[in-house]
Amino acid sequence: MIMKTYTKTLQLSAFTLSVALLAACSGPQVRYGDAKAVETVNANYGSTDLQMIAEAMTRSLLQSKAISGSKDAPIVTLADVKNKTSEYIDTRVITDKIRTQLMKSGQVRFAVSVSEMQNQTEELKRQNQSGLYKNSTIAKTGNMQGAQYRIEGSIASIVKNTKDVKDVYYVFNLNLINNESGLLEWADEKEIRKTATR
Amino acid sequence: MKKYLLTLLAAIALVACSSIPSMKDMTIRMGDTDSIQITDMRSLMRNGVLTAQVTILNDSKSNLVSYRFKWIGKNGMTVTDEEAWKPVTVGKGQTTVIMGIAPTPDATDFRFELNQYK
Repeated sequence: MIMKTYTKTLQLSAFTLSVALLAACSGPQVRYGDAKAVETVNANYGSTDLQMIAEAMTRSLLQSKAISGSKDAPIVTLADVKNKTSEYIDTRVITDKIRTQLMKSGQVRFAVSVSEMQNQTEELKRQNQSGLYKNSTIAKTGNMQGAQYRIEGSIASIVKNTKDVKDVYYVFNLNLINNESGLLEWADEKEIRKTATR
Repeated sequence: MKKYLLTLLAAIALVACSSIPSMKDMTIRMGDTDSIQITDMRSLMRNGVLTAQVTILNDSKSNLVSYRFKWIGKNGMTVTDEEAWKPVTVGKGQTTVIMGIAPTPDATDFRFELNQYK
């Protein structure tokens, strides 16, 4: 009788010990998530805001008369998007995303922007002045195509805080400007509101 | 002769009904979105690009819902990568009109996807 209870307690303690060991061994886990899922970690600028802005601006721009009404794909370049919010927002990522989506649509052609000109001029210089390349295969200087339009904009925010609620409102403005005439050919805005309750 | 005409008419009607998908067929639901009803769905080719419009109604509780469109081109193939899920706030008893514009002129059809988000 005593032997039976002894083996039973031994079995039970062995079991609990193994469970405790397994629980301790499983540390923090890493899982891949869905890049397109809605992100609600906090009320700051997030991936869903970036995706919503880029998509809304791209689709609206594709419908504008300057893009859809022209026979050949117009040549556009990216100019600055000012960050007028108090947060750190990489606005270059937004315009790069818009540029990628517009390129994929096949309706727009892009010229290198100001920030990429350094690479462009270095490559041209290398090909033309180093004397290493066959003359018939060189990309000659003086043949770059100028952009007809440029895209520029700004993002602003209004943040309101109380003890229990943080409300953030973003407004993203984008303009398509004709480089030669200086006229605004298209403009659109995207508004986002996020509320966080404590 | 009359019988033959009637059966022919019925067959044509059935064929016509089956070729246009219902709003339910064009909606793909994931998660708990039962409180959201689709009341209207229409599309139009505007400026060479497909524009879709869906009207949703929130029946009961205030649900956190996100949506996206899936654009379909020739042969039922999806035209681009998956879109990002876009959250929409619909109050109880409120209708919202959701517009979507296709990313390329290749899109000829669309599906409307609904999901809940935490």
